[in-house]
Amino acid sequence: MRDTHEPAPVTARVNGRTESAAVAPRTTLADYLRHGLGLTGTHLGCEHGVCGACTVLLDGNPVRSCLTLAVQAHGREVRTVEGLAAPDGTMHPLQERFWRHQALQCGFCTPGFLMAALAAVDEEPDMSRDRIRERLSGNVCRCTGYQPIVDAVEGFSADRAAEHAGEDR
Amino acid sequence: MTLTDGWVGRRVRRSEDPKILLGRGRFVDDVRPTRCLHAAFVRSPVAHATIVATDASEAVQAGATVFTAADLDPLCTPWKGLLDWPGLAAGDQRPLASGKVRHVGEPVAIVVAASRAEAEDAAELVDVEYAELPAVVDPIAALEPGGPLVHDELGANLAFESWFGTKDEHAVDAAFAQATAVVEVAMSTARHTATAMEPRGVLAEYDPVARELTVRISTQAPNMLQSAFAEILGLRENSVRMLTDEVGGAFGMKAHVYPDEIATCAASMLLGRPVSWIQDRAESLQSDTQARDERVRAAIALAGDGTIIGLRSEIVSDGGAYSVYPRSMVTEGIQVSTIMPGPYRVPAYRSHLRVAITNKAPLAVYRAVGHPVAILVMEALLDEAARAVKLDPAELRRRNILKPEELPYTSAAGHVYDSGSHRESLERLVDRIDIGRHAAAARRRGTLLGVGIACFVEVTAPGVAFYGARGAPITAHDQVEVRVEPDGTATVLLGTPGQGQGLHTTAAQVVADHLGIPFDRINVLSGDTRTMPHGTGVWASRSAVVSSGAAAAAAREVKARMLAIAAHLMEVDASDLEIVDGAVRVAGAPDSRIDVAHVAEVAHWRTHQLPDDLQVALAAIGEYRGPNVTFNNGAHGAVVEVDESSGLVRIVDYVCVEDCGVLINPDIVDGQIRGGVAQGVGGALLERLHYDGDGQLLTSTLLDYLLPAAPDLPDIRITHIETPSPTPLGVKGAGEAGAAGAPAAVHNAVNNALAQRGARVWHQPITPERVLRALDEAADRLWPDRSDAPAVPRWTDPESEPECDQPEGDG
Amino acid sequence: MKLPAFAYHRADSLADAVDALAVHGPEARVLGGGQSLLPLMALRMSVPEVLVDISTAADLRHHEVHDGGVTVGAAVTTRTLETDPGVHPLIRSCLARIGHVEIRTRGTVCGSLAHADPAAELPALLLAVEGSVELVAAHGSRVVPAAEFVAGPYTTSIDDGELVAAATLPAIAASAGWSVREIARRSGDFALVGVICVLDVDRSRRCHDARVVLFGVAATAVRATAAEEALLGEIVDGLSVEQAAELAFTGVDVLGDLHGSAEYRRRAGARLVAAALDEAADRAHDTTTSRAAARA
Repeated sequence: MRDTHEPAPVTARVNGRTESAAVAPRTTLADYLRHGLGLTGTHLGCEHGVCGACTVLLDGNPVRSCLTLAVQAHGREVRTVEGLAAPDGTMHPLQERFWRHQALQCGFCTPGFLMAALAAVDEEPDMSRDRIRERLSGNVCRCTGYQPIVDAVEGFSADRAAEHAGEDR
Repeated sequence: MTLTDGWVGRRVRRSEDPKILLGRGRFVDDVRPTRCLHAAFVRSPVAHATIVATDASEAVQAGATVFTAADLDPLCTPWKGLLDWPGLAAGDQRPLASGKVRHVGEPVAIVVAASRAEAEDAAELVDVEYAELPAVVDPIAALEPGGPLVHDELGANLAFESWFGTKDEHAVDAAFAQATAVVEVAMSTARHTATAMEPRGVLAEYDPVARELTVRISTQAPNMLQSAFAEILGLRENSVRMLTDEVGGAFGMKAHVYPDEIATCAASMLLGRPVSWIQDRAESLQSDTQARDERVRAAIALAGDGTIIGLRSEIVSDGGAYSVYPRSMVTEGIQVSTIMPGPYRVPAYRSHLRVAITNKAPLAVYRAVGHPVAILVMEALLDEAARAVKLDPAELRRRNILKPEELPYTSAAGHVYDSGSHRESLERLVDRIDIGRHAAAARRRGTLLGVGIACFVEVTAPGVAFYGARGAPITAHDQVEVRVEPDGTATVLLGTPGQGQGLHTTAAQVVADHLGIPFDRINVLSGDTRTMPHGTGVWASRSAVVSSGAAAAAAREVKARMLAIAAHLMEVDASDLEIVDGAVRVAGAPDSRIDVAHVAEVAHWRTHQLPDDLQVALAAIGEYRGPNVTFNNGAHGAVVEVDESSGLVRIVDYVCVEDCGVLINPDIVDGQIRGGVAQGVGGALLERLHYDGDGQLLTSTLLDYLLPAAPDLPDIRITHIETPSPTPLGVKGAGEAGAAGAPAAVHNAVNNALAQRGARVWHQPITPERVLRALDEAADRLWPDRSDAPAVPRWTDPESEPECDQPEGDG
Repeated sequence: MKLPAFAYHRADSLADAVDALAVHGPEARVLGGGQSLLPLMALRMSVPEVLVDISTAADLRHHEVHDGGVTVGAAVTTRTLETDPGVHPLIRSCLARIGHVEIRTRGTVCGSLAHADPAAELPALLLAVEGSVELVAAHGSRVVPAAEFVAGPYTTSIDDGELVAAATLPAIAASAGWSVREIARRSGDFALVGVICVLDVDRSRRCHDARVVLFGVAATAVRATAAEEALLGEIVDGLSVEQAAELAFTGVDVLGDLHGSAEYRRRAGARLVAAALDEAADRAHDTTTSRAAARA
């Protein structure tokens, strides 16, 4: 239907807002988010799909935004690290847990970990520590040695479980 | 001096984190000024060649601007890192290769266009004709006379050669002659690289009217680069401004002058527009400084009771093509040599070091510089020695490790260990490892279980004597400004910005204690050389010592001024006053108090209330003064399972005992240790920059250069010992201790497992292939082909070779 | 590391996609999940002029489960199939080993087959279950059996203008046991050696079907025919498994790379095959005994 080098129209819900733009087909979702929309929280660490720093949620599922074209986000829902906190700036409970456990140092990989971990806990609310390590094996952190990230994700899962148990009562 | 039991020592949450967690950090590529152009590089696809011709006409037709050496050389003075080391010979570096290319990835042309994508398109259109030359790849073969030369003008590929250790060279021969047991190992570690998650990047904005250059850059040493860039580009230092906000990891790799970064600045100067160059990962793996490329033969001599009586080592360091400015290519090799005796009593030691020039990316400092190799070799020797004299490995170490009463201790290599807990660290480590706990699981999985330990000392916070004394723009008197604002809050300006270590948090903790106001009223800023006080950056596990030391000095000065003002306002003697939790009060009479905010308001806006001769400026710059070096120490222990059918190694437990003196923030120190261990484990098991026989780099993506991921590491259990150092705050560096000891602990654990089958491995990374081969060969199941083990140097006879004074060190 | 420029065609149906491929000929590439193609383009190792994006083509986005087997449309992601409990555990187990979750979320089953990486799981799985792919072009379609699909590394029998519209992964016999094993440096890495075994035995443990597929070791995934033949008609026990495993690499042209030499792959691979055959035999035996128990 569309067949051109020319910029193609992309309309997507990004962090709850509808964003429309004309984007060159070769623009990755990562570059569109970062430089088209100014959402520079999503980082590029390798641009070939290995490091995980660019992970965002596409229709709720974790994807590499460096291996997704912006035009492929047309008509879809994108969530980035900027979409986690409450509108008043209050951190998302997962961010809060990352802060508490010092699950970041330089912070470059952190947005990718947050998005990957959020999707992981949504799908598997009761992961063991080994399972968390396995589930996050597609994200590279060079600073923390991963343990505090595992702590944070484990803590967040427990918080959620406790919250749900409270709701059930 | 005394510390309040206030903020120092607390596990305070890091003030750096919220903005990063919320996606509001500012890394280099997050800033794009108007009219910004984007650069890509044409890089050498071959290791060694003459550049015959360069044709950029197609790229220019496509709308790009292309600069080659001919364009940039007139703007730039060439550079090389020599550090006044006697005899160190190296070739000049320039922003773009001129005449010859000397490693894969060396920049040949800079291509500037409206976007990075277009710059890459145009770079593909630049036609460079190369006449290939034989590549110098093996560092030992490189030293043989008559082979190809990396730098023709040097006449040889030997960059540097020196002997280190005991002055009396016959003492070592005598020790070996009278030894009951002599054990020798031949080992190597593979070339690896820091792989900071944020690649390098520069945004250069040149103002041709003011002749001012503003450089937003991912670096760990902004002031050093300010001086270096000014010198290279012929600008006044006060016209060069370096900006850093968030820096996504550095680990020693971002402490150098890089050709591509200079070229980007030069392009901005020629074009009069902002030019951004954001490195991609392939460029990172090809052109970031590399490290750990060391081949070592070493031998240890023991008396019958297991006492070490002599040690010798023969080291060839593969320095790559250039000696980076300003740190040079020799620091790693020198530290492999001089750290090797470690925390042990080694009465006689001789070490011969040669640094070879090869057609590979430059070798430079990377987290723990040389220590991982030195500790690996020493600890492997001790395990082999323990097997030879049939002693428990811990017991052999116990008999040789330094005791508190022996400190300060001058090692056979000339290092002075100022303080520490060497013996206690070993004992605490042994107490915490319980291999029996893992036996059942290993049996169930049918794996070989092994335990390895490694004791270490580590150079931290080196002083003025190392680099500055050798002519580099690097010193130790880092500065911090503390100022109290009119409302009684405080602003701290750091000369030394961090790359994720949490330096803002620790500085605020120290200032809170020394100023007497709460942590949450303190803002810490860094990262703009135009406004911040001077510092020489983050390196060698120094910032906790140096930056915090300077912050404390500044805070104390400001506090004294506040006390003088308060004394006048309260009509008491200043010496009777103290500041606690934001209030100035009379010691012993806590009800007699005024708020710091009141003092600050008077000092700023109501100075009419004060006598004319009272100093009202509530701001001061403190500087660090301390000993030339302080050594931390500790011990690592790893428990591994080795799968005999695949050769895969899994670490099932890891313990680290660490003594870095007074802990400012234990969580931050733990983070440094865990991150360092992860990098050490990467080196031990995974990481290898693989150059083939033609010098071609086969590992230019993260699919081939393997970094440890979460499943590759266990939880790391940490024990702290706090033996204060003789530095102002009793602090020692902690940033590199994890990386320093981990390769040795993991290696010894693997060999402990393999020894059950009579096998060993001697080369890192310990690949499944190397393990399987060792097991097969120990069982006489020989392999047909040659192994992939690198050559290791033969012993050289000590003649009248050059000898160097002992350096202070880079950690 | 930015993608080279290309023209983009978003196909809304299979017919639309094959029409676009017919128009653009060899200059066009099919974009499914893009998890193999886009990295190659980022590295500028692949520079197609046109990408025909089938990821949202409605008629390619479903899969159909039949008796544990499955027919997968071209736009179905690995993750979709992996998380469908109706799909046979052998298939799901293979899929779960492909890269990481974030890759499987976009990567497609048919795309991975078309990419034909010698170390990838899916071409090996296709061989092991004796599946097939449906190739569709503007002028017609054809079904290619597994054994004829992959011709070499990254090379298949897909002609210009064709795309893999669907792949069929048939069920293995209900009585058959199976195993998927890999040696990889890290979780999610391509295997240094991988093996998929399917073994069917009768109640006396006599083998009447044996499929042993090796991947990551040669120019393509390859059936270890010597090992298969050694087991056929034999009682499956420790000895026959060991003998078969020793033959696994007979006639296989094993290739080495910087992560492991050919010799390593042969030696570690033989042990891996033995372990996989053991596991498959155990599973087959379990199934046979439990069915026998159910009948009794």
